[in-house]
Amino acid sequence: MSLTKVSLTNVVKKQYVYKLKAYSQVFMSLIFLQLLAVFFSLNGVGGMAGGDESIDVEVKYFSSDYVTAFTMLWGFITAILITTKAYRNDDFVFVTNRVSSNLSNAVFLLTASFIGGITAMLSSYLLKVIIYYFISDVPIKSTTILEAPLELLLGIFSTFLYIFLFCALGYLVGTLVQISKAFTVLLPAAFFGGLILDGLRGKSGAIAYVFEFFFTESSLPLFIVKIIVSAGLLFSGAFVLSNRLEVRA
Amino acid sequence: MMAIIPLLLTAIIIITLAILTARAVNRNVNRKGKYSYSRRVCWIFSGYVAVLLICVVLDTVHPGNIVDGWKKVDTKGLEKESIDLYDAALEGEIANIGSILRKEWSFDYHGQQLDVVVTQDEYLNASVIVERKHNNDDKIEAAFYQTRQSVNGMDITELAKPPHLEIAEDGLLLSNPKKNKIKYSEFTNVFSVKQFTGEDFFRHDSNFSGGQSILYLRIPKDLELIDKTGINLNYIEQE
Repeated sequence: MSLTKVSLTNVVKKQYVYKLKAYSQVFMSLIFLQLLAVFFSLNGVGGMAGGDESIDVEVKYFSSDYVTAFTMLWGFITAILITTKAYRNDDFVFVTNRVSSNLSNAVFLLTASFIGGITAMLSSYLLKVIIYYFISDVPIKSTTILEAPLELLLGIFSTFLYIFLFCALGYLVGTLVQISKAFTVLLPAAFFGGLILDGLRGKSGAIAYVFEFFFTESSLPLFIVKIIVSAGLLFSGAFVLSNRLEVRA
Repeated sequence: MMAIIPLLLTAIIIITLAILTARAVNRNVNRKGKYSYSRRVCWIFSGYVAVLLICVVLDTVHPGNIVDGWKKVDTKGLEKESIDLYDAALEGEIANIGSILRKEWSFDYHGQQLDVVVTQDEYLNASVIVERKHNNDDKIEAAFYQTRQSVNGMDITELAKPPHLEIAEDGLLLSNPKKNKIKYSEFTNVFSVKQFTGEDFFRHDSNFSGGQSILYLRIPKDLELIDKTGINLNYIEQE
């Protein structure tokens, strides 16, 4: 029994700072995944050929789509990873309970998402420089940061939100798996089974609807609300479910 | 001025991140002065961010082999421009419409009949419109008009060459120009930006507009043109 009273905020703060250092290896995997995505993007993400009898036009498209998608995947995996027992037991270095542990995890994932969002958008410049100086022998049409600064900010912000959403989803999935290992089979089966069923029926089902719900939203304020509400619900679900986990042996 | 604000914001975010990382690195030295694993990660990550920032600067100050000199074009009006040119040509008003006159020819011809032959290809990549003059001046005047051509919203009209025209013993020989091949790369926005800028999500907006090409011939009043290779000669109706 301790006579010292500690506030929840203080515990969360200490755990958060600790996790920034203790979980630092996730940033190594971020670098690796982003560089891998840059490598995959070097061959272009699409192309177009057109023309008539007097002219032939061939365009190759480059973008950091792969980097952003890989970073979202990284967020998802990182969130699952920190719900595993080995990581959860790290919290017992401090005076802790489920609430402080979950809150510090959420804040850590928020930070990781922000860092992931910035590096994902900046890596498009790495891609550009590699293509400019080492790969492409044809002219390149692109805009610099000075020509479209708002787009960079918009990209950082929206990518950050996407990564955070995937983190929230990963956190819920990780928590479910910790409750019962059956979910390691059930969740992928439900996801891929749903996709296959939708394909067989020739109709867009729940997965396609969820996809459209976020990815086709053209209003930024509405997009922000959707992400915050969805991530909030996913984290709340994970917080509630984590109370069902057994205490540390 | 407005463009500087987002740049400043980005700079502030990146600098803050760098300072926080540096502070974390400083606190992370263990008592023996050895680098801990998290410190090594910090260094590697800082190096990665530094490389990314260098790339941003490089892209800004020296953006490599860029597409230069291609004007932007509003593609919405191109189809109407093509129709207007064709209609104007059929009405004999092509010179008044203000479209692009790419090339003119003038040939002396004293015969009563002239074969029109497309060489090399099966057909000519232009509509041929013929206007009869009011007199027999033994001159064939030709003009090649073209509306704007575009690819992905950029004007490439000047890159397409006009056809070749030649008067020979066989008649008026027409041939398509040698094809000009254009290759370039384009960096597009990431999908998380495209969804807010109205661009096609996950796809690349590709469009090519070939424009309208018209070879306008003014021939002497009584000259008869004989189409030898199936090109459609459109005559302007005389009033």
